[in-house]
Amino acid sequence: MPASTLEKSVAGKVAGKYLTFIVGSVAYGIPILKAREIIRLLDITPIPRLPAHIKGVINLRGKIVPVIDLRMRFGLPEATTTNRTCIIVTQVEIASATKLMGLIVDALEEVYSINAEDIEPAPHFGNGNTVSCIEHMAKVRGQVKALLNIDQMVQEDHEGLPLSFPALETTPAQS
Amino acid sequence: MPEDPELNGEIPLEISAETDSELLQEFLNDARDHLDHIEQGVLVLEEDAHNQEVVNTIFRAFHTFKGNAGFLDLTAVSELAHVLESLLDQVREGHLEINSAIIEIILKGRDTLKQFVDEIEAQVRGKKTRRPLLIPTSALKASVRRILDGDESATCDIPALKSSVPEESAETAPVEPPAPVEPSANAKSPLLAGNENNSVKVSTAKLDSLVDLAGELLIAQSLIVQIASSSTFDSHALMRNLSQLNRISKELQRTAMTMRMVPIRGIFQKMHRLVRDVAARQKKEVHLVLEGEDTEVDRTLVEKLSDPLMHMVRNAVDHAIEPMAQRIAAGKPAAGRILLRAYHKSGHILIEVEDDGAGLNRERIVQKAIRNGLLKPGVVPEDKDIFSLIFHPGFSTAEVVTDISGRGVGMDVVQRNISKLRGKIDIRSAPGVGTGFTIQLPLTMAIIDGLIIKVSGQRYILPAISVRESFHPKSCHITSLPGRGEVVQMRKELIPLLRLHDHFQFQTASTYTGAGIMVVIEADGQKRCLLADELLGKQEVVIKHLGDVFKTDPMISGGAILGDGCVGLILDPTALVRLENPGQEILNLAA
Amino acid sequence: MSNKILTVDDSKMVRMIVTRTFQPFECEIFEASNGADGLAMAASILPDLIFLDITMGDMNGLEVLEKLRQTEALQATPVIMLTAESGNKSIERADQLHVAGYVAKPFKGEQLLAQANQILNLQLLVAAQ
Repeated sequence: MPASTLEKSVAGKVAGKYLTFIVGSVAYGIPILKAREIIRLLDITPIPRLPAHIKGVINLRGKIVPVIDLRMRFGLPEATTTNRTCIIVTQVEIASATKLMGLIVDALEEVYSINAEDIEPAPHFGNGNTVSCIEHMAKVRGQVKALLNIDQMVQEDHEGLPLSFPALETTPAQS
Repeated sequence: MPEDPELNGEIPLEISAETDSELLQEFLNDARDHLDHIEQGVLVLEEDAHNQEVVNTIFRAFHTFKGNAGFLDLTAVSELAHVLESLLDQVREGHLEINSAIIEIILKGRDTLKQFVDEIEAQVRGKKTRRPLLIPTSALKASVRRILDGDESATCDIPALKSSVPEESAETAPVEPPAPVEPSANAKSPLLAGNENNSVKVSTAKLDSLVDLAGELLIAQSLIVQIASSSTFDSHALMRNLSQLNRISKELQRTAMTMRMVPIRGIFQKMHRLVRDVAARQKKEVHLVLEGEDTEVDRTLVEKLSDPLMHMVRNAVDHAIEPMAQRIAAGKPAAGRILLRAYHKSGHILIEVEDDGAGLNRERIVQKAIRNGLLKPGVVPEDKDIFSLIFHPGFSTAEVVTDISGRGVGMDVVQRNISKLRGKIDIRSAPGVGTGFTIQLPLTMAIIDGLIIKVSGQRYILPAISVRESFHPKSCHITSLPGRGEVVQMRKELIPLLRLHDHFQFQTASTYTGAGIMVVIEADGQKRCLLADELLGKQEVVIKHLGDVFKTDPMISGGAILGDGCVGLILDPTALVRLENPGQEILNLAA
Repeated sequence: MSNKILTVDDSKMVRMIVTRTFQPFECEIFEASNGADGLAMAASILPDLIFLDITMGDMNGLEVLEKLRQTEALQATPVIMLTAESGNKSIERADQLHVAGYVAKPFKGEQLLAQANQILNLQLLVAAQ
């Protein structure tokens, strides 16, 4: 399928350096500039009456930072933590403000340069709904990475939309 | 992109939602400084056209404007700043002489940039809806270019500056939610009042002492390291240095806290105008006396105090001070007097509003209270308790305005605002002599005295000011009322029970097997009995935001870093007493 | 040893962007807001890479660069110039003073990363709390 001009220009915008990581059996990428730092798992204080994937808050050098579990966010069962489990502290834009948010991931991969020609729009998942925070996929050295729009993702959590996420492991994302 | 002919070459400016708001904030802060530099610089150039230093300053201001705007894709701003920078560069290089036309153009340029900055700031703060902004710059840029091209006659035939927004003229603009008049700070938890990303001016003296303390801290720390690593371990020296470290840390925290403080003068000064206007309307003469205007208060308090104080002062002029004839008849001075006083006392800020009016009418209040069922006939409460009734919502109706010298109007709102600030308000009044209100507020909004409790293995903090007592559940009687929840009988009172573990709805079952502890809290005049697992003690904690990424239950008002570095959540007593609200009926049952 | 990166620029915004760009990597980031501070800092920390603004208030980037090159310990330190415009004169002089590259303002963090990657071996930072 020849990419339309519009798609090309979008891909150009999406291209760049990505930090990739594993959640379940899928590799995801976020723009490297969205990552502030990476820390090992530490004590998380749970917050009452929030969806289960919002694990709670941590103390990041005196700042309180909320943490979400990406496995649970994507509908996977909670995993036992390993020494590869870590928290990526990201910066997200919510309601005109920059906020810090931690993402628990199973393991880090590395930083890749992703070129425009390697980027494709994300396929439709499950019953025809696109997971709205994954708009693009990229092929890096033969492997597919789902490019995660964390601003979009957290916006949904922020607004408290119903969470209905197909498990990504059953999707064509796997290669 | 094809140019829109309707825009006449003007560049609309749009703040993209993806723009990093921290950078945007930095742009605004920096821009304010540069706007000031340009304005002050121009004033100097009018006197001394050859002041190279000032020319450089203005050049740099435009240069930085251009650069910073470029990073944020604010093209309209960076292009305008670019031509102005070129203009100043020519002056700097000696190719152009400063003259009145150039000065005028620099000022116009500065004012136009300021318009951009004001608009961007309003949109960023949420005071205005985000929409493309169109401020004409092309005529101004053309004039600058004419000067740069050596056209001596180039004058500023620039149309008057006026901002316009493309869609604003059309009534049928895309439907957008109206921008809230006030930023969402109001909707936030009261404990965390005012998290606006404003910058503050701090006196250099305060900064210096902070730097000094930081230095001392390092020295004390290295002394301790030395002791710890020395072969002959000196425990006395260690203790001495540890206590020194302790002293410095406390001082450091205290100094850091004072940086949040500003004099209350600003609010107090506003009252002059208010008193003058209200008194004139009422044909009264009222003198306002201010005391302790330099008393420093937490700057987040200042914003929240303004409304309640204005309300109280307006009430005093409107209703408390008698008409002139009545005052003269009573042998009082014709002019009324209102005193506004602020001072620090034992770790609190006290603000007094005092008038020399007629005083509260005790009898009227009692009658009204009996009619409203707030008092039983035949009971004679103390004056203090009677006067407190004017804070009751039922008393704040227009009907009682005249009854009780109107002092009840909106007083429930005042009290609610004050208690949101973790403060309280007392009244004293004497017939014919006047009425005084004393507002007591915490010195800082950043720290609270907390009671740490444990629920389901997690620690929570209750503001100590709201805690009345705690006791063992065995020593009380719990009654379950069908459909109305549980109540705890305590002495002669029935208090609704809230089992925190159940309410928090954690998916893991409580592993706690002990009897637990009952903690009685009071807020908004209502009590609740909280059942927690354990009481861990009292501690001063620094209140922090939870990050605002997710909407949390209103009963969680913030967090604090506890001694072991973990986060404890702060519970909001006001939200807890509002839960389900089984209260009223049960309390009526008890009466 | 982690890399030391020094930014010398009088715009706080530029320094914020540089600092933020390198935050996820194993490196120490230093900032100076004027040429004099930048020189002093460079001499004391001996950075592995310097981002240097050309147009600054007290002394311009070229003067800073010249002084750096006169200091023995900093003669070979890679310097990437942050330029506001393509002034040929400045670039010529900077070339003579062996700069590692140029990045034109306004830039994106990725451009910095791309240039820095050719000089430093940047590793992702995994810090224990």
